[in-house]
Amino acid sequence: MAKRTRNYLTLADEDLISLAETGDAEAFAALYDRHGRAAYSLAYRMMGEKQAAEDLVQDVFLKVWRLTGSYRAERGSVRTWILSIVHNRGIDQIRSSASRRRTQDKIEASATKSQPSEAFSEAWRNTQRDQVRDALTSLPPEQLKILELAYFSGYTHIEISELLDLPLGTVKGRMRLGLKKIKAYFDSRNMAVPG
Amino acid sequence: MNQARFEELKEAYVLGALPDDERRVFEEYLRDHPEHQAEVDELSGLAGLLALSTHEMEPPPHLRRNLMAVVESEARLSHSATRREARRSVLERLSGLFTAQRFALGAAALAVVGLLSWNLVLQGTVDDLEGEVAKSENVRPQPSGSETVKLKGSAATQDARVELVRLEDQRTILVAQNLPPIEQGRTYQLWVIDGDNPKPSSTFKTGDNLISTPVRSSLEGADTVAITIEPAGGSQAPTSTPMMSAKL
Repeated sequence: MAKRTRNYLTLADEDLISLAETGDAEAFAALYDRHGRAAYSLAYRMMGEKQAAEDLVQDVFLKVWRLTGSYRAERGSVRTWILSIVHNRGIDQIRSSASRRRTQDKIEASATKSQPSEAFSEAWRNTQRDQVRDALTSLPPEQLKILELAYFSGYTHIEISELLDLPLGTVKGRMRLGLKKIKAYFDSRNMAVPG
Repeated sequence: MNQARFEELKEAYVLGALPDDERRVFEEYLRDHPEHQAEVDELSGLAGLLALSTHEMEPPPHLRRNLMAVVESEARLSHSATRREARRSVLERLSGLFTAQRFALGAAALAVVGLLSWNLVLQGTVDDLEGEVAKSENVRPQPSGSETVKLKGSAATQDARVELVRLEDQRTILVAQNLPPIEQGRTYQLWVIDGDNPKPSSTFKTGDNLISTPVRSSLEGADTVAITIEPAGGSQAPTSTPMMSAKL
C-alpha cells in the first residue's frame, strides 16, 4: 500500500484525473491532498465561514469525482479547473443565499486579508503565490477592489456599479485594465502566468 | 450579442460578474463562435489567479474523511455496476450464439449442449464476479470513522445498489445506483423506522445513474431504514410497500 501511495504522489495531475475517471478512489484522494487546501482557502474567502466553506469544497470535489471526464487539459491546469469550479459554485451559492454576507464593512475588511501565509509546504506554489500577490499589489487599488468584489464576493458588474456609485462603463473598464495589468506584469518579466 | 458586446463583457464573464441572463447569452455566443474560446480561456486563467492570492488555510481533517467515505462508497457501487454490465454482455453474447447454433444443428441436441455450456460458463462468470467483487471490497477499506449500511430489496430492485454512509461527524449520506425509474409525479423516499414508527426522511429522484443525497433525519434510536415510492414532495406516512430496507 505504501508503494502504491508513493506512486500516486509521483503522478501528474492529469494522470490522477484519468485514474479517477476509471473509479480509482485513491487517485482521487491524491488529487484532493494536492489541491484541497487551495480549494478550501478560496471557498473560505468567498463564503466567509468554515461550515459553508467545507460544504462548498465537499460539493466541488464530489463534482470533480463524478465529472473527471469533463476536464480538458487544453483549457488549463487541473488546479485551475478545480478552483474555477469552486469559484462558480461559490458564486451560485452566494447569490442564492438569503443571507448574503456582502456588506461594505466586510468588503473593506477583506481587502486587507490578502497577507502572505507563513506556512507553504510546496516551494513552487509558494513562489507562484508570491508572484500572484506581487502582480495584484501592482494594480491600482480601485482596480483591485473591483476585481475582488466580482471574483470573491459574487457581485455582478451592475451591483458593483451601484455599490461604488460608479458608471457601469467605468466598472467594466477597470475590470479590463485590471486583468490587462496582471498579464502585463508577467509578460514584462518573461514569466509564464501561473496555472 | 455581437462582437462588440462580446468584447465589452468578456472580462466581467471570466470574473463571474455577469447576471445569469447575460451570462447565458454570452455562453451561447461563445458556443456559436468557438474562435473566441482561447481568448476567454486566457482571460479566465488571469482571473483565476485571484484564487491563489487568498490567505492559505488548512481544511479540517474530517472534510477529507467525509468526502472519501462518499467517494469510496460510489466507487464500490460503480465497480459492481461495471461487473454487472460485463456479466450481461457475456450472457447476451452466449444467448446470441445459442440462437445461431440452434438453427444450424437442430433444436433438441443443441438445447442440451447449449444449456450445459451456458450453465458452465455462467457459473464460471459468476464465480469470477464474486471473486472480483470480494477482492475489490477487500482492497477498498472503509474510511476510518465511517460506517456503511447496505439496503436490500425485492427482485424489482436486484440491479439497484443503495447504501447509507454514516460519517464520522454523525451526518449520513445516501448513495444509490440503478434504482428503477419511476413515473412523473412520484419520488423515492427514505424512512427511518423505530419499531412501528416510520419517520419520513429524504426524498430523491433517480435522474442520474448514480446519486448521493444527505439524509436529513437522525438515525439515532432507529432500528430499520426503508425506501418507498411516494407522491412528489414526499409523504408524512408511507403509502406503498418498502422496496428496499436494512436493519441498523
